[in-house]
Amino acid sequence: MAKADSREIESEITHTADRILIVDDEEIVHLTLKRLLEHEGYAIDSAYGGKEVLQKLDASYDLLILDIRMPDMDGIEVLREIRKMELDTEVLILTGYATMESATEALNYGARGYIMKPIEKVPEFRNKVGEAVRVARLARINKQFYDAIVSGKADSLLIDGKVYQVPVLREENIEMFQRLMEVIHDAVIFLDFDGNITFANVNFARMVGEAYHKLLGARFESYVVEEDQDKVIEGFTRLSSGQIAVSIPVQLKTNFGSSLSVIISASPIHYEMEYRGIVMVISDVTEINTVRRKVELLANLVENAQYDMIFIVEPDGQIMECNSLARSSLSYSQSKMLSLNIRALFKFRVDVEWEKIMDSVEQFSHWQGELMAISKGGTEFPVEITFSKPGREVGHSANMICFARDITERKRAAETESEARAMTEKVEQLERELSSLEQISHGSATTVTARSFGLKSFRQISPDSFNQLVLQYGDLVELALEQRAYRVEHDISGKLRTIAEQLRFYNAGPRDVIEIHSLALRSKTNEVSHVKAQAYIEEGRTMVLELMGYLAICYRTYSYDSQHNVK
Amino acid sequence: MNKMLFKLYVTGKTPKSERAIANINRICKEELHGDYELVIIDVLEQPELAEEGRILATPTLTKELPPPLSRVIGDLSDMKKVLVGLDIQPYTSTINKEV
Repeated sequence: MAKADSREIESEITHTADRILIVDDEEIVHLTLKRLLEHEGYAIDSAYGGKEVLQKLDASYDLLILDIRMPDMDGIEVLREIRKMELDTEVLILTGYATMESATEALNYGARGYIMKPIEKVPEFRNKVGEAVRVARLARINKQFYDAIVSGKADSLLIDGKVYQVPVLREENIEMFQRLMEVIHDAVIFLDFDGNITFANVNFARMVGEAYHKLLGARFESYVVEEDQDKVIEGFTRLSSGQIAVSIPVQLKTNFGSSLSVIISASPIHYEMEYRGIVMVISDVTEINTVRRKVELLANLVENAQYDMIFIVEPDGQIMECNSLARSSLSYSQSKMLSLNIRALFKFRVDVEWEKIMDSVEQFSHWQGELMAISKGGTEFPVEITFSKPGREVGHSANMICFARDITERKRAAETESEARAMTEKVEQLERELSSLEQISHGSATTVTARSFGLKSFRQISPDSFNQLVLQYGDLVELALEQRAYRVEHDISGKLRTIAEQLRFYNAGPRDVIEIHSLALRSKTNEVSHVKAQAYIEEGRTMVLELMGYLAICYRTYSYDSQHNVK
Repeated sequence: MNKMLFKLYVTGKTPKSERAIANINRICKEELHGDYELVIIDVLEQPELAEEGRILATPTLTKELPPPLSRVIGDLSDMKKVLVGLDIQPYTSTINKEV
């Protein structure tokens, strides 16, 4: 399409002459202006007061020439009402020197300019009218164009000789967009190139606790805490310089006395290759940040747990995550661990099978027991292990959490305690044995065999010799222990025979033997460990029987020799 | 009344173009009783005519005769708006000029 004169196009687009509505309470003004403007080809209508113009005015008028001072409503009031009607009609204010201040105020309400009464400079008047009408017409054309595209009335555009297909935007799409702006959880804001808010959806107003009408035209940074404002400005500068998107975490100031953690996602708006402003989506991440901090804290606790290996596993046992203690205890790297099934890390027994564990977890949401863990190097160690699954109310996750604690030391301690208890019981039993032997040796009620060798005990008859034999016997116990431990030969039997002969010499009996034995052991077991005490007692048990036997032999031999006078 | 001359600019055989053709035929038959001439111009086949007519979008219907020149963009499904937009019926305040 060749570039035609814009006025030509504009005049062809309009389907009637440009329409102008003159509003003044003086008939002479109407007559004067009508004459001037109809000569230019404009269609002129008249109104004589503010109320009348509000009834008459519609979108068919390109221009309103409005007297600032009228009896029923002044021009400013009329302008305010017109703005509410959202018309594209341009306004020129008719004013005299006395009402200049009001005319200037009218410019604030969107009037395009003013015309001084009486009109002395006609060309200037014509130019002002022509310009105002042209602007109105252009706005209408643009709107027409926009409507044709947005409303879907046109399916093609012809620009510079080329046909462009227009995407179909049906009415319902526009409604959907508007609805989206209302229901979207995030705030959506448009800024002009100065950083002023030109559009904001209701969510931003809610976020910052600001009345909606106060947002428009406000500087966006005024809603950002001071320490983050530089970050925002720097981000916007980057967008205006060509960066296509920025994401900025900031704190927003609110009228609730608190701040809000948000993420600003912003992109530049370009029109005809010129930077025109910014569109932003603002997401409230306050809650997300709180949750994130909680998750990080929990994750840290789990990862650095000192006593429990922790696994997250899928229902089939595939490991999804584990903590550092699990990796170090079992000697696997993180990547290797995540490739394993948890069944590879523990030894299951026939009575503790994986399927039984899973049945228990399914039924009771957990299983607890003891298994053997197997490290990468094959080392096994006992663990107390728990598999548990979150309840239904936590969600649909079927994954399980597994805690495993190395109980090697605990088991060792338990075994040691058990051994010590058993040892103590044995020693107590042997103590009781010794006590009963002592009772026998000291008891007044004796058997015939026990008293067959005299009424007084060996100890009573010859205490020094008795004590000497106690010492000898005690030393012999020591030697017997040494013989057993170190496999050295000390001829214990020979030495026992010698003691037996000495006992026969003193006419000692079995009771004396027991007394010697018990005293020697009492002495030996005093202030030694349980283990050694038990060793002494066990060795002594053998020795006392052997000594008894040798003593019996000695008496038998002595008796035979006496009967047969053997010298 | 002078015979009316309409030119309907379309782009190929799009659904809107087809509807616009059907609607203008109906309007002309019902309202103008044969006192009209309708020229349908496909801008893809005759782009020079679109350029000459300073057409910006399709479908666009222009009333060339009698003056003043006027035009309507769209598939012409709202007959009332079309008639007002083409000055075939008097203008009312409820109808927007940009129909």
